[in-house]
Amino acid sequence: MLFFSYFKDLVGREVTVELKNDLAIRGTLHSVDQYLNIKLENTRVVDQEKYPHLLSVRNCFIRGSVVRYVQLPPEGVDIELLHDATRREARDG
Amino acid sequence: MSRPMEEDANVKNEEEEFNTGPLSVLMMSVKNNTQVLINCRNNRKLLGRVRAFDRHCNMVLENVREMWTEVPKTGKGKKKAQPVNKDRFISKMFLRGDSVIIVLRNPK
Repeated sequence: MLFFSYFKDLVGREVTVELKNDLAIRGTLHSVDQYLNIKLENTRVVDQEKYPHLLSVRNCFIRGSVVRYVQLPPEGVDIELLHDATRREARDG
Repeated sequence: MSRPMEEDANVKNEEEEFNTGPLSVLMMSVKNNTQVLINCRNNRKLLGRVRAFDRHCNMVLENVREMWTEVPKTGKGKKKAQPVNKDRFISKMFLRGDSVIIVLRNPK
């Protein structure tokens, strides 16, 4: 639940999602759910020449299980909030 | 998830689990601001600080150097490619826990 709350706070920010098939998609975080499924808007594929099949896709739904990384906006991390939340998560299970 | 039932004498609550069990490696990085080396399933290594984690090893990492090795894909066409070391820097990222193979503490 910790990261679900964290991503909910990140809605509206621009992120780059790197998938397990090495595809990297840049877009605005539209929504997220408890499985960390992600909906992105205004998407662009990062390396256009390498992955031409998603050129025209502007909005997408990404199943949480296929995500490898989510690159976050540099100003996007409130350290203290995350740190406290990690401790709370540990305490409450 | 009711706390009185969880803190039974025989059952460590999850915080103690995080502090003493295997995930203490991550907890130490969060608390002491130290680096860890993560061997990832895409055969790349991530060297960085853990800012937050959960029981799945999902993590938010900071100041990450991602390191891997590639072969230039037979540029000459004669299969003479030598593996080349590559790396990139990612300032803030979320790593999904199912990609983690191993997490190493940084040697002092």
